[in-house]
Amino acid sequence: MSRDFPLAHLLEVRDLSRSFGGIHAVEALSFGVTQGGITGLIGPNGAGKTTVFNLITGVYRPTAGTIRMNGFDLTEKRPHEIVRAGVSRTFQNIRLFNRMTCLENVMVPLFARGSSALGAFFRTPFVRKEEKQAREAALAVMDRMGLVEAAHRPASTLPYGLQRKLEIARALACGLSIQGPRLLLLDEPAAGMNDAETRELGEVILKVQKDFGVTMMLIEHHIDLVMAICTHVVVMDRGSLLAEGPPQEIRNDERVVAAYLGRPKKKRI
Amino acid sequence: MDYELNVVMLACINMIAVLGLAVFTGFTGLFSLGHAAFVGIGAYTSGVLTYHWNVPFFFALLAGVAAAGLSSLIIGIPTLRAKLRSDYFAISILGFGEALRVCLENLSVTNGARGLSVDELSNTAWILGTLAFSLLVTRNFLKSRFGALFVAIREDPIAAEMAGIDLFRMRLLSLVVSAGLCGASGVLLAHRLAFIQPVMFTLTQSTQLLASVIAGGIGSLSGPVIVSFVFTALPEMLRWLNMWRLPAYGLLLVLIMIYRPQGLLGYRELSDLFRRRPR
Repeated sequence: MSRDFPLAHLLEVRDLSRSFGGIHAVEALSFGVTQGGITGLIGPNGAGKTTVFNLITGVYRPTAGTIRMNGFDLTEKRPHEIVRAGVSRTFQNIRLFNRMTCLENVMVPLFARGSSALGAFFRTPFVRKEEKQAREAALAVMDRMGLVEAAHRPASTLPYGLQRKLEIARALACGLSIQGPRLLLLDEPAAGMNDAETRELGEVILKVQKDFGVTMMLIEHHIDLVMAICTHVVVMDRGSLLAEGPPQEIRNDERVVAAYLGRPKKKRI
Repeated sequence: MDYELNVVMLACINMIAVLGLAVFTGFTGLFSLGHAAFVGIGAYTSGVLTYHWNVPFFFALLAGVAAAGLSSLIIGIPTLRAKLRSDYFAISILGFGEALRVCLENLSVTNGARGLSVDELSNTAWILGTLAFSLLVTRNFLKSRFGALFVAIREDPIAAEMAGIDLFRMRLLSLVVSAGLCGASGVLLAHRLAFIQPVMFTLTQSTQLLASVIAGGIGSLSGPVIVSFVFTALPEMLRWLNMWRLPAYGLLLVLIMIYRPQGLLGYRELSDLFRRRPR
């Protein structure tokens, strides 16, 4: 299944496999994510989509295969190193730091690197300045996401839609200190949303892409959303690549339709 | 008066150790059943230095803190690198504490199980000074970016990692700082009681430290510090109860768990209570 990719791919996944015991969650999967676009990752439940995200972000180690980001090998890297290479993500079930305020949630990625503990013990002027800068940078991100009013509320008190937005804001903050291209992985951002909310989320995603210049990849079950915002679609089934191409092509692909709906069976006698 | 002063001083010494464990358990979210070992390492390092070589107390204090901090790397590096779950970590550090007791009982430099009679060097000024310094430094530390990172790790380790936090380094840092504070407490304890014995630093003491942190409230510094003072002073005040002293202490713990399961000041500080609007 090995293929050659043009250099324009920001993320290159090659022959990626991961098994859990006897279950092959992902098997010999290869695909590329073009810089600047929004790539949709779709497939029936259990196809291994979230496992792919977990492999890219280092939550799991692949059994085989390679993952390259902007020419940099991520395969054996630890999660925080992968974040520093420009990859950040959100989660299928929202994972916020619930007892922290929204502002603190967005500040955490900015705090991940900084001055040593010794300065912190004595609260030196440098440490205060560093905190002020992080606070301002976090507020700037929240401002563009329309979250400033909620800045000092505990994250757990936000309504569901805003929690999703906050998680995206936190993921964006991960990339603020990074030079070079960034990749944002969204795991089912529209899960549990109705049609109106989903449409609004689509607009937020497009705005984020424009404002922050990030490349995006999203797992999504709302096909309308995928068709509306994605520039490229990757379809998985049972751990492997089923189809890949522009949204319109994917929509009419027989194999994709069959994977979602099943093939028509012969009538029983 | 001397008796009351001694009780208060012991409570203050205990507060420093509880402060240390609050950083690790209350803020970083990992349970430990072995922090008394770090108290013991601080006590014995300084005790051996002042007993055998007459090292000035200030340097003995520094050495005790450093030794406790460094020794925490021995248990911290393998267990935290393996990302042991909280309960497994608690068990492995318990093993570390028991191993330390066996070592202390069998070394000649520590005078084995008979214990070491050191000089009474930590007076009121030393104890209060160290306590004030520890409180200030710990508060600053938790107010800084490290405090935010620790809380993030406690709230959701996976999300914290995905926010770019090096989980291993931050947890290790939290352990070293907390062990250092416990070490300071041990130095003061040894030179207050003027006598140390390996059996003073076992699971019983670790459990009491942990009980103070839990009853004082996870995610709070002032709560555990207040409760640790009460927990040290209360058994002394209850001496008239004779044999019912320890059950009364247990009853207090049970009552706290029933009526304030989040602890005395869970996720809050004493200063928050006097602030009009929560931040």
